[in-house]
Amino acid sequence: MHLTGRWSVTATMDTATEANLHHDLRTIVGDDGLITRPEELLPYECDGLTIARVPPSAVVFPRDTGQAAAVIRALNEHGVPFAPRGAGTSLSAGTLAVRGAVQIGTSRMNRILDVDLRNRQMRVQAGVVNLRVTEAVEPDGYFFAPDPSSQPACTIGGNVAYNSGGPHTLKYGVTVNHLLGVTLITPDGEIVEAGGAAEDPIGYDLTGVICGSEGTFGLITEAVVRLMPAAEAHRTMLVVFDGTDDAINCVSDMIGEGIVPVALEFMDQLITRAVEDAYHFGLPRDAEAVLIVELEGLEAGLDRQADRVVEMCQRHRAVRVKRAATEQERLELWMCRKRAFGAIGRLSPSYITQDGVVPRTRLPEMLAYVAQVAREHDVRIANVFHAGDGNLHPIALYDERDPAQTERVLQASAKILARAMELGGSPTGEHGIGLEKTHQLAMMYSQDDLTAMRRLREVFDPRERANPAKVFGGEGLPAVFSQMGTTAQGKRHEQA
Amino acid sequence: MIDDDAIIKRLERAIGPDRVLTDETARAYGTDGFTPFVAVVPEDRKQTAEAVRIAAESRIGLVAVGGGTKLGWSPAPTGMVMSVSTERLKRVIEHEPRDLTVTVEAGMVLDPLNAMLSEHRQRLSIDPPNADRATVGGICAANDSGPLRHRYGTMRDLVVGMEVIGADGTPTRSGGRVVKNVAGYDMHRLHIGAFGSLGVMVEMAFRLQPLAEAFRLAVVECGDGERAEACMASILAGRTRPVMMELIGPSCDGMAGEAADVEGWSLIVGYEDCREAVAWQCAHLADALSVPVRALDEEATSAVYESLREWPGRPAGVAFKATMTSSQVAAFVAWADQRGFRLLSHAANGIVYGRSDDAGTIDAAEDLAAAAADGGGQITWTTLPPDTDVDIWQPPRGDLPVMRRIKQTFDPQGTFAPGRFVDVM
Repeated sequence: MHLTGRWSVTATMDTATEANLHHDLRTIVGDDGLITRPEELLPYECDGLTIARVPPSAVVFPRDTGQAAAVIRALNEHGVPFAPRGAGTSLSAGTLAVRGAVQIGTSRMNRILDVDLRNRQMRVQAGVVNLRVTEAVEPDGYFFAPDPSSQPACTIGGNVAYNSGGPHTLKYGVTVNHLLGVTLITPDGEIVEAGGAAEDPIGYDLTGVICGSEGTFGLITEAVVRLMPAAEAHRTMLVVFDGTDDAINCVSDMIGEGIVPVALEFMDQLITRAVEDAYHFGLPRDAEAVLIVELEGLEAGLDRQADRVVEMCQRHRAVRVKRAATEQERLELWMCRKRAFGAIGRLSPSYITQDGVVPRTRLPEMLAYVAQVAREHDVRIANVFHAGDGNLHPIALYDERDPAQTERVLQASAKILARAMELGGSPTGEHGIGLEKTHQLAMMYSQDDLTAMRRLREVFDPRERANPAKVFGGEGLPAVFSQMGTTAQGKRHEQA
Repeated sequence: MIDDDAIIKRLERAIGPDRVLTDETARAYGTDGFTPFVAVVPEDRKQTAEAVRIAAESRIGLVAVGGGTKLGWSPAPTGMVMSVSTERLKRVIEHEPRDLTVTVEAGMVLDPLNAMLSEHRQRLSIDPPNADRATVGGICAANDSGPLRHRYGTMRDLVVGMEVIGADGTPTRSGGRVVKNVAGYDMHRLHIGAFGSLGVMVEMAFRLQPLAEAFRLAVVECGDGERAEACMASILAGRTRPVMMELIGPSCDGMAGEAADVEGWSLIVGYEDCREAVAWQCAHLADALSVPVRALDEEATSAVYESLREWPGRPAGVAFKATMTSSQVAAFVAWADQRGFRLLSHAANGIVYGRSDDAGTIDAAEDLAAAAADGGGQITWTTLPPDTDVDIWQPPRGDLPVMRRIKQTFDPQGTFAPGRFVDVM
């Protein structure tokens, strides 16, 4: 028997067949490697995007590539699709098990397999938590660059599937730039070893396309990631502006003048106040905008660069610049940013955050538009985002018990994403399409572009058994996401 | 039976007679190994798409040609082949300096692009040889790179979006013009390093870097292979942050130019940053090393950098690119040197270039491949002597079946670069 969620779409499987499948799966992973009881399945019915809930029929936890391949072959024999799940931190409903999918949890594939500091790489199982990679090599002076906000929880498999970013990717790039190889199991149970320890593997860049494919090519079980040497020194500043445009123009000028900070984070008044009220960092409650700027590199010359940043901020009418004098102060400045999402709980019972991207220089008009949409739809929207790469995170506050408010929020979100695309950007810089933004994908690309993508998917997964309905939507898409946009058929292609 | 006159006439009607070259003039768009029966020089993307459509409908092969600097990296295409030159596709589509991105057509040559960008103190940070002729499209197709890849990566790290003409002449896009974008699959990644076997790239968007304040090289005289590896390990684990690390093998072959005044088994280490940081690093590079180290002045830095960058692109009788993990480079270099090759490596990245003018060195091909495989890598022969049966590409490992399915899916008729790449692996 299945629990039926509000938007649950589960394929029917007769009880005998299901019992057979469960028996087969238990044979592979052991009795404790499969959960099927409704109350145990509750935590798996949603991920970081709580607006949609679909309980899986079962969750299976293989321990290694061999077990995972056997699990997938068993599912394949029964014609059952699967949805990979790491730590369930997806913000686009990327882990939901629709179309009767069984979830494959990677939490038991959590071993670091090989650390090679000389060659600056590490081979890990997919369920290794992002932060653990850095922790394992930090004493030796190395780190793993992609640092999504969820890094204490999210897994490398999820990072690879969603090509995750984070504040520090402005300088270092996103997951794909730190990935040498992946092991992928296709829905037929074929084990594909893409890339590996050496750079420039001959042939098509399978590692590069598997990264960011959102689990729709199969299950990622292992990855070879790059390690970076940690920086010797940091200069971290918290800069307060009276005007949003001043802050944003300051960001553009900094980049334009050749200063690429390792992070450049923006917080608006709503967020700053919430953080201040919650944690009392001493942030000004009346400031329109706060920037956190971090430079890193060698000690030599870093102060001069920091002085240039301060000068530039003052030129853009910054009302206050606080430079972290000690490592403790630096961590506190970062805490302001990292606690931003936590502080939102004080503002409203629910929130939904988007992560559209616009070219940096279009940020002022984009933020003005966000404010306009907020007014028009009577929704409170807070902004905290990676200003350095134009990656917005408008956070719409609402109460999910109020359907009218929920609908307004979804409409506002859809408008914001549409505008980001009109300005030459993307509907998502980090969170991925998942189940949430399939309509937006169809607005961003032409029908021909999408056909090419679907054909690539078919190379790996001709029967849509790997993470069904993700990226391209279709059957199984929870109704709530239909409110995120009308069913676009692909934009018209601009011909040369 | 393919009627070449009819194809040529059709091309002339569709694209214009002055854009369709035959006989001797077409020869310039081939290599020693192959002469296209017709070469097309489209004016824009639409004409390029038209050429692809005609090739597909006529069931002939199509090879995209940029600056022609790396055409020899592939076996001659098989069957009747049309060359499509991107030489007129060199427009800048968009450049907003404060966004640090640029969108250009695929036929844009790297040097003029970087000359334009340098007016804004910016750069597309890829530095393969022959940048005065190599187009961004060709660099992508061959996934070529240079010393600076240690800091800035390869085209796989720099391309943020692309437009490609597919097998039926349909243009498709992926990615965009923003540096961060996870909407949809990164289809463009398939084309980087695909040697034109999946489509014709016509436009790409790149992320850019600001030009650094200072750039300086230093020479580390290692003396032998063992010490070279020990030096590399020390430098990589040390406090400096090189943007490049080139290892000159035992035979110097003038690869660093006269200004460097280096012997064999030297590391050339480069720093790029603000003035203070570069000066500090040049001064402190020697700290953890027990071999002679000397920083080069500005003039010598430019000359040596240029010489190292160009060396892998200079003509040779036999040439290869080998990949492996960085820690295997010194041992491999020592070994390959004994088999008659001169060697230069992007050592921190495990990329080794070997060259020889003696065609007999090719006899070591199998052993070289095995040695690279021991280091977790592979060999590509970028120049082979005539009449050899050595394969240009070593077959990929377990992922070849997937690659074949990709080729079959996107080019079912085998229009693009027939007889190349996965076709011959």
